[in-house]
Amino acid sequence: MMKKFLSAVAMVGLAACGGSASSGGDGGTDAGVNEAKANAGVKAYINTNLVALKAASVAIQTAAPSTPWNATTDAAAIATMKTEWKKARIAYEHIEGAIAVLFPELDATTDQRYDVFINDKGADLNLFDDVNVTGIHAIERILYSDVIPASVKTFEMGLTGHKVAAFPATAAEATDFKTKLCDRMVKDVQKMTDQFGTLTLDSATAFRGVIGSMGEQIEKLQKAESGEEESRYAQFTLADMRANVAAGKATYALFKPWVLEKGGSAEDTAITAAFSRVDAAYDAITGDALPAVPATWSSASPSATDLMTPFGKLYSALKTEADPMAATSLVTHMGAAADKMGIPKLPE
Amino acid sequence: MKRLASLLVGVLCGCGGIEETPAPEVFIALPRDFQHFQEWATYPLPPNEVAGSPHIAGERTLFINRKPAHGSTQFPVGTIIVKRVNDGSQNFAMVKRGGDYNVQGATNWEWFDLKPATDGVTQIIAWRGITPPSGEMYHGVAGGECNTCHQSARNNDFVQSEPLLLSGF
Repeated sequence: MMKKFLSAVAMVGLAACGGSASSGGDGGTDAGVNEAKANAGVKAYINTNLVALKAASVAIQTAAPSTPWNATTDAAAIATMKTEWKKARIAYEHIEGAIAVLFPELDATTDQRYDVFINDKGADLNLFDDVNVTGIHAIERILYSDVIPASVKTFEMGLTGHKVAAFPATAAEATDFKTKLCDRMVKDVQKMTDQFGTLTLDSATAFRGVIGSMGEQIEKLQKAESGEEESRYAQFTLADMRANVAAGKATYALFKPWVLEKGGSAEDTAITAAFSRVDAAYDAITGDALPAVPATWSSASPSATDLMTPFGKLYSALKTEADPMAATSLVTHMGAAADKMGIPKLPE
Repeated sequence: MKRLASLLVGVLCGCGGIEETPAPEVFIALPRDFQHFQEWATYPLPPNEVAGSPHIAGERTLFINRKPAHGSTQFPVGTIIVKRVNDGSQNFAMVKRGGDYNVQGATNWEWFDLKPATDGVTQIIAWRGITPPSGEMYHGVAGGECNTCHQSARNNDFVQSEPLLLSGF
């Protein structure tokens, strides 16, 4: 779940009444055209992913057995649900940056982690219904309950109100999973889709959101340090993060013509190079799971030895690219591009 | 889930045509919706209007994008109320979002913390939602909770300020 607090750069606006942020930029000869294209492109990108999210959510619900789950006889259904869960996860991580700020309550019910739910609302006595703990991680926790890593079990056993995850063991639990927990996610995604559908998106919001999403990458790694890793049951957090980056690149590509129109070719070159560095950091690691957090890891003061581990290298690379004070970071160059487009920002 | 085919989200643009626009079912405010709020109907607030509220310090001014119709018992969806702290440091806003948003608190209202951008016109949304984010200072008060205070104005659709009493329109 994305933090409700928006970083200072995450939500900025365009002038009212169709006035374009680009109107304050330099050198625009076709003011508003590229901005409008970016706007439409971002909107379409989000809509496409909402459709994918809905389809995967429905597919999970459809595949869910109505009888107590059996790991052997229901293997095909469970495999299908896991495949669809990963599709849902990727789709949501593609759009989380935009969706979470507009639908904070739906972001919570859809994407909040188990530990946050029970901390806020108390123990979840029925893991399979549609109250308290809900959403994609609630489904994940059940779906992958047979393969939850020991470290995750240990972390959660320390949570007040914790209840051990398991497949539905009774017909009532199986029915609840299918008709309540899964159904809640389908309905929440549909609500997002409905309300987003006719929203005239603020393109500057989307662009600054990409910048903010780099900070989210660091947050995901820090959560892993404390055991609160996001997709910890499926060991899919690295895939989540890759999806975040893919969304950032896709969104930037939509803004690129506007950046170039405003004379931002140098910024564009720098941004492209920075994304390549981020890609290289991810390409150095295989699989969907985060690399193991070193036993002595401290994000506040990581040792040289720990920084040489796969986790440390990824952390170091992302930390560098998310640093707004670093002259050559991705975030710095994105901020410069935003300035070129005339997107307002908070006073420093 | 029914399709909200008639949803008119985002149609209010603050360009002066608001009065003629029918209230949407759901209104999701974006930064552009707060632009030029200083040109809306204005209500200076006396100090210490609401005892114990973080809003009471110093001079403040209320702005509303459209007044409710006479006899209204609720503010229509799409209503935006901005409270400017006149030292220029911060603006708060409440927006009638609708759609059963914030149903556990001030039903249908969303809270905003706005900060002026470098251009002096744009209002940047520092945060929005049902509650302030953890650790956020609410005009100097950590953890200030919008819903808690505004619950006491339930009979006025959760709007506290006396100049905005529904009975007065």
